Amino acid sequence: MKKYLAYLIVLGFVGIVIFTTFFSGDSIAFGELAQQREDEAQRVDSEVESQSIKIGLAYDFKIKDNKSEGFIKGVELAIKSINKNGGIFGRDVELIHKDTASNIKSAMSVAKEFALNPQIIAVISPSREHIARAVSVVYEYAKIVYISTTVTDPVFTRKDFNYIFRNIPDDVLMGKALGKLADTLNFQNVVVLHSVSTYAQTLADLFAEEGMEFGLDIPYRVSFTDERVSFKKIVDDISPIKQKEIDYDAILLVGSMNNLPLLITALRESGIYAPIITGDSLNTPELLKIGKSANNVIVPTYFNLEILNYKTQDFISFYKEKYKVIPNTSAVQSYDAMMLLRAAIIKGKSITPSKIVDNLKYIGNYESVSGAYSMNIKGDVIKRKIYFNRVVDQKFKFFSLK
Amino acid sequence: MKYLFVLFLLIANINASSRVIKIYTNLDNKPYAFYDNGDVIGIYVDIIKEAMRRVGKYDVVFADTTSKRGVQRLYNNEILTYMSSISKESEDYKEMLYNMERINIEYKNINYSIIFSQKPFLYKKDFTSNFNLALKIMKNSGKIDEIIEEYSSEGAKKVIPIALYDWSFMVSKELGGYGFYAELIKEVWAEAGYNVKIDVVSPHYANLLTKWAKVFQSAPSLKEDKKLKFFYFSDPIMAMPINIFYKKSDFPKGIDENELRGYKIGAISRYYYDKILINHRLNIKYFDSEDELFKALVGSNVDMIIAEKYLFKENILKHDKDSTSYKMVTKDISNGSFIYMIFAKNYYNSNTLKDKFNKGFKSLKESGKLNALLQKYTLDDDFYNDTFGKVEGKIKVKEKNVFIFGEDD
Repeated sequence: MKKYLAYLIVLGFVGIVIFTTFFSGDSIAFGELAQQREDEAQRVDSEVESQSIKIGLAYDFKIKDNKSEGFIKGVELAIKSINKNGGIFGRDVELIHKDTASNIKSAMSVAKEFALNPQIIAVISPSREHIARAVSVVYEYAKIVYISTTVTDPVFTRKDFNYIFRNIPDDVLMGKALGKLADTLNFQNVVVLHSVSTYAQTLADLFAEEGMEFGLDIPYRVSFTDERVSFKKIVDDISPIKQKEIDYDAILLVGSMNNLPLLITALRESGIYAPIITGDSLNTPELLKIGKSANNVIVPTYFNLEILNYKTQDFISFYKEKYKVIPNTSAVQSYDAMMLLRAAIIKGKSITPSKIVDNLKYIGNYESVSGAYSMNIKGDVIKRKIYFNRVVDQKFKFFSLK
Repeated sequence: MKYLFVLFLLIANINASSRVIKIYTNLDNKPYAFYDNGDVIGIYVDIIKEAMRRVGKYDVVFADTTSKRGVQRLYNNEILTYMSSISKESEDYKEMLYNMERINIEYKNINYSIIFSQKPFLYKKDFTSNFNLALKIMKNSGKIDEIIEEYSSEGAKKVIPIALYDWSFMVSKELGGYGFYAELIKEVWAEAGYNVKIDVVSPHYANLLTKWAKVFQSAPSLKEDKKLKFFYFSDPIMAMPINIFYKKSDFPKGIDENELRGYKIGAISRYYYDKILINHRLNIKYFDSEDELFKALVGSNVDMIIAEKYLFKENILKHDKDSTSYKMVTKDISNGSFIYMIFAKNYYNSNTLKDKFNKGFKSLKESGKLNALLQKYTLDDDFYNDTFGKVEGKIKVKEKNVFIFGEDD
């Protein structure tokens, strides 16, 4: 209930931003723009030789980490592959890059620019949750297909929007997967540490809920802020050297990259070498920078490098050949988002956004490079497998659960 | 490391109905394919085994042969498939193998191939395709590099982390080499080709570290369902009976051995025998350490204590010069407690290491090194027979040795 209230507050805020950004002085008629986009797409559909298909990419240009680079490389590789193979219905696909600067105001300006361009039929973005929520309203009203590659909050797609999608499993699926992992590994006593963010609390709750199915016991649970840097009290409370009676099989640790590496280091330095199960926020090479402390951390991933599947292995080889590195999850997500869009266009034989969304919602058993999955009417990905990597000798290793 | 393109001929005999692929090869080809304590291992062997595991349809076994005989048998359709190096195939063989289908395994300096005979093979097409894909995955994921590394000189020097806890003369920080049992473990791992790093910690912390897959642990242990969820157990290393001891002067008329529930019995808290004590429903008073436990017996603060049969004398002598004033209740309350090396299932490569340990232990006994170690710690034949002998099924019936106390005159 609290979550929905918070969500309404965010929506209210978004409404104000939209109003102040779009309707003060320089007003936009979304209905008219949406119609122009549909007409333009239909015109392009009917032409024998036509202009390229334009897809917007909205991300922060200044971030140069592995995730951000992976996102750009992945989608560019998809475009290269599509265009090399004759494009879509003979038309090349073109990417229009725009800088969201990781803030709502800039992201809204980008959304406005895309909304004003009737040739843009879809936008792919790795923006964070609060930004994605805000701009989703604009894309919905402008009738631009929006695919988020990163937003996992279950609420994101629960507002009867038609044009908003994600190709990443939401926190409900992740919580269940983490619970199932604990069950598979016989972790029946698990210490739960999580930040106070909605994401972390939700995931911890869902994990505990899933754990009820197999008799999970949580001997200790505590939350902390994303800004906290000292964890002495938490570490002392679960130290088997200081607490002679404490006994647990593993630790669930959910939060952000802001301070989780610090907490992991503090745990290890205090002799707490328990397996640490985390959310997908730690599925990044940045985690490995803490050295040996990262060993025995188990992170979920949507991409299994070792699937016995030619599509996956060809993608890895193709990516490696071009960029000289193994694709990370961000690269897979953006590559997959573009290919998913392509599949919906081909299925509906049209680049008209309304037709694309109709086909996206009913895509079933779609063979992506990360395995088969389906989409549902809400715009969520379903039946997508979640895999796990474990840090061994300071390297991610695929963790077989057989 | 440069890999020589030595002629490598493997003849595989695939029996489609049994799902077992028997591969013949020259098994004197270190580090590619060779015998190790009766097992066939090596870079080529491990690559093939790992790829087969991923394909999932077949088990694979290896047998020794010569190249010439293998090719001849394949050519005569006596076998269904074989494998050979690519670039060094003899000119004599090339013509014989010319029309046969093959899977090439090429990676860095590795260069060999699986060759199929003309004989129809039910799953050949799927097998070839899936095997190729498995190889591609292994190349992409670095698995082949890992296998090569495993056989390099650096890989051979891997260190096994082990947690032990103070355990009388068996394990102690005060003893050179950490005591008899610690040395035994080191020797076994040395036989298996590994160095060890031993940490002596509290029993509780040792248990947690092992459960967390940070280390391996070797200690007296019972095979309980709960433990089997987390651990692989080695073959039993030695028996370690657990008995109840009391001070004769506290019970001059003796005790009723069949009814022990009325006595206050001391035991170490969170020790491996917890589960046994619960089952016996005894009146237990717990102590944090072995030292406190034995002091309680000497000071008559408890009626009896629980201790390992063979460790009692060593421990009581630290607190009382007259070890004969104590008597042991004859029944082994553990009903056969053994010492195992335990391996966390979540530890990387744990099952393989367990197998290596078992082989190392077998080899240690056969080489006579175990006897040398027993002599170093002046442990006699009776100790050997009642501990190691029990494991080997050769236990002596006679219950007489220096470790039995308080026999009535």
